[in-house]
Amino acid sequence: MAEAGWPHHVVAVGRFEFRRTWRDLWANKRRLALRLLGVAFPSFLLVVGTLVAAGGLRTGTVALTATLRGSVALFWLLGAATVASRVASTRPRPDGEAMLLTTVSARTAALGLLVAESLRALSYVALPLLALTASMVVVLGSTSSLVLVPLAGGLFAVTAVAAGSVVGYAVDWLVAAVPTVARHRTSLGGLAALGFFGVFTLLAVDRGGVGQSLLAWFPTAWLADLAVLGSPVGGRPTLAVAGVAACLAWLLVGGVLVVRLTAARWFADPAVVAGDESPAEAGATRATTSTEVPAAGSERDGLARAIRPIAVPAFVDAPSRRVAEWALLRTRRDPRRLTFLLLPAVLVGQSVVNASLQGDNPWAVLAPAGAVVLPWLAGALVAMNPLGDEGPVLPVTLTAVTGRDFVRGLVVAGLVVGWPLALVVTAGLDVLAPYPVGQRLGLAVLAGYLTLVSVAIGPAIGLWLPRFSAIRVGQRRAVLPPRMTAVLVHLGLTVLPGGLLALLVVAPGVARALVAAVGGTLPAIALRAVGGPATPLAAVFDGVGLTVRSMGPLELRLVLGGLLVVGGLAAAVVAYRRAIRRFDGYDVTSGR
Amino acid sequence: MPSPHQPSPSDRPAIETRALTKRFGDHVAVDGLDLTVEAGTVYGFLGPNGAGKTTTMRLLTSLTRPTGGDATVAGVPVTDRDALRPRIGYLPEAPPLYDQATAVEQLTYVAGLRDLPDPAARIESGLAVLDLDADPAKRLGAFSKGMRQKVAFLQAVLHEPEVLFLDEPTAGLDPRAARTIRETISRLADDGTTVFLSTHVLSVVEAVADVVGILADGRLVAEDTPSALTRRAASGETRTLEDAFLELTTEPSAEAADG
Repeated sequence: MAEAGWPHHVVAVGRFEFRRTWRDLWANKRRLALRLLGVAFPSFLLVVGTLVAAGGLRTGTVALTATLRGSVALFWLLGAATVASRVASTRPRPDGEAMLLTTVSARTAALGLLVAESLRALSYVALPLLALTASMVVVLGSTSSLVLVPLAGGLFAVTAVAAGSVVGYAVDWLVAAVPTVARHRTSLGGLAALGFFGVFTLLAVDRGGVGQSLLAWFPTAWLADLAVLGSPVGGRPTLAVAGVAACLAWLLVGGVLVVRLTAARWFADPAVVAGDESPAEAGATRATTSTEVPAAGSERDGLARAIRPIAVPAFVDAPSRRVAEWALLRTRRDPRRLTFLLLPAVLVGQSVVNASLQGDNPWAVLAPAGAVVLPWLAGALVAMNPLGDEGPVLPVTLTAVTGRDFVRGLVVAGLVVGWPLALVVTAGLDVLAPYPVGQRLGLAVLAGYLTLVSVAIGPAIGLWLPRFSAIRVGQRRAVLPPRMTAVLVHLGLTVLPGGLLALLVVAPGVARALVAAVGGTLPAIALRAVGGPATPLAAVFDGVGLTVRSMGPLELRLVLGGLLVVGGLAAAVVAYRRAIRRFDGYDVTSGR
Repeated sequence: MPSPHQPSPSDRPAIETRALTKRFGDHVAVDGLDLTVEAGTVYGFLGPNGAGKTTTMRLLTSLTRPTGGDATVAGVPVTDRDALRPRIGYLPEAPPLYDQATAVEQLTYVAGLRDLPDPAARIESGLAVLDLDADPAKRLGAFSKGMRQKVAFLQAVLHEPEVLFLDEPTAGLDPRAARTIRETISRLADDGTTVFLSTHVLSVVEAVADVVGILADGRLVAEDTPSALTRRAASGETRTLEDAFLELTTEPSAEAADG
């Protein structure tokens, strides 16, 4: 049952929640700019793609194939998975829950949140849809696209939100209600994510008869037919109608499921798991700042015992050791914190798998990729959101531990996990890779070096790009994933130079061509295109390109590799020091 | 401040529980609670940390389901959420506010969800009574704790509920803000609202409560007027409600046996 006039209240809740999101975004101009860039780039690609394919599209030689339909469904699945991850990890319950649930029915609250999430999704796809619509109208002269492209895109977004919400709330309910799931949530969650993204990658790679075309039967794939109806591409009207009908039916079913699941979850008691501790209880065991550390193995040393079989070396001084142990324990006990890594990890993983399948021996790509990607993961696992991870405890931490001990502790935590992970896995991949011993050794050394750099710059990036809302007094969210901006910055700073170093180890010729092009040829072409006073500078870049091309492998490794290694170490030291300064000077009130 | 409702003359209690029980696994948070709160009274609900006060409040506001027993609030079973919502107001310990909204926006939102007539006048009057003359453009995230608590309090009473549940409404407030809240509670009770007040600030209970119930280990170990409870205290040079509270919650089982 719901209160009288509940549809009106659903809209009110949805609007209010969406406005809150927008205000948060507006208050953070840097985040807003990145978000705009994030939607402007695909919009640009859509326009360029339509222009490039204009000839074929106009003459009808570009057909809507099963692969194209399937790729639409594949993107839809990725969108739904993203929403599911977001709902399960950060938004399983409404903000202001006590007020909302004593004011309106659970149905109103759940559907209102669904409306808000749909509005958020629509705000992301609005610009790309506008660009695609305009391109199709202008380039193809298809006036029906004015209505059908936004309709198809809108259905695509809201059905993905409904599906993701159903899955996200179902996961949250399962974890809360089923003791077995609650007890093994980390491993089950990991398996589910691996399973999903494994299948996703298989479909995306499109080899051996397994590819996007297998998803052409999926109703959301038929939205492609709806979008191109009336244009020279010519979708199938029956599929378009069926797609719309299926989407509308799913919205109805999805809405009902969301209402049922949230009503079951929001008023249910959490499953009681023997030996499990709630985050609050876990916090009670915390002794981050204690300088009195019991001897290793002592019964009093609860933190050290709790993180076994991982161990922080005894030579690490007490406060840093406690910070490291707590960071590791927090990550282990609250693995939902790591869901933020799913999407970037999958995108990176998919690129690696794609690249590995292009050649004859996949291990030739997987080994160097492992030496780069695993160190990045190690740095991102425990130290990407130091302030947000502290949450309401932050004021205590700031006044109890020095920046040096705190940042050092986070770095130690990253190394304790990262070095074994990166070195062992890279060594394992090396064994299978078709490289001489020297190059295999080089990759292993690279993995160790890059792990050090990655975990050293992680806290600095997390301290400069924290989740500010996490530290507000009264904010009680238990799970506070880092900002995607921080994740992307860390990813870029680790994987790009690391990837170049890996190329220098296993394929110096490719590295040389790449550096010559990016550092010489391309800027020269761009400067000549600009013309005017910029033209003489083009010659300088031409010179750079020529110099790089003239280098032999050894010289290239020594000069460029040396620069990258020394630069990485310098960046690590500077980041480490700046992180300490940032922590020591952090102002809780202003968030600066 | 909106003029509180006038409860319909009735003999029915505002809150009534019979053997109300809530278990979390093996842990019994509320253990067969029998409670009767008459309409128009301020009921002070005391107990040590972990006694089950907040769980009781969540049961009575239908935010969690009882494991056993039953309860009615304003004559409505707590299992009937739709009928209960318009009759109750709830201020939990952590004010349920949205940092991104201004006070007026938050209150207008809640008034809209409840379909209240003339929301602007209600909000304006409430803000004036609670001395909330803040900058209208200021977001709640920038409010002081006292100001946030007042906004949350106003949010809970905006629809003139029959029964108002307050969980630590004065915790952490300065004396002026605490007094404002206290006086408002008394005024609401005078106008017929039943107030179920859980707090550790015993002076607030002594000042405003008509009846005090003391909960320990999920069971009601004593219930009486503040003055009667104070008289029962065996120790203390000058007997206070604090003395009574400490004695009663030290040996709850003995007190329970006394009835």
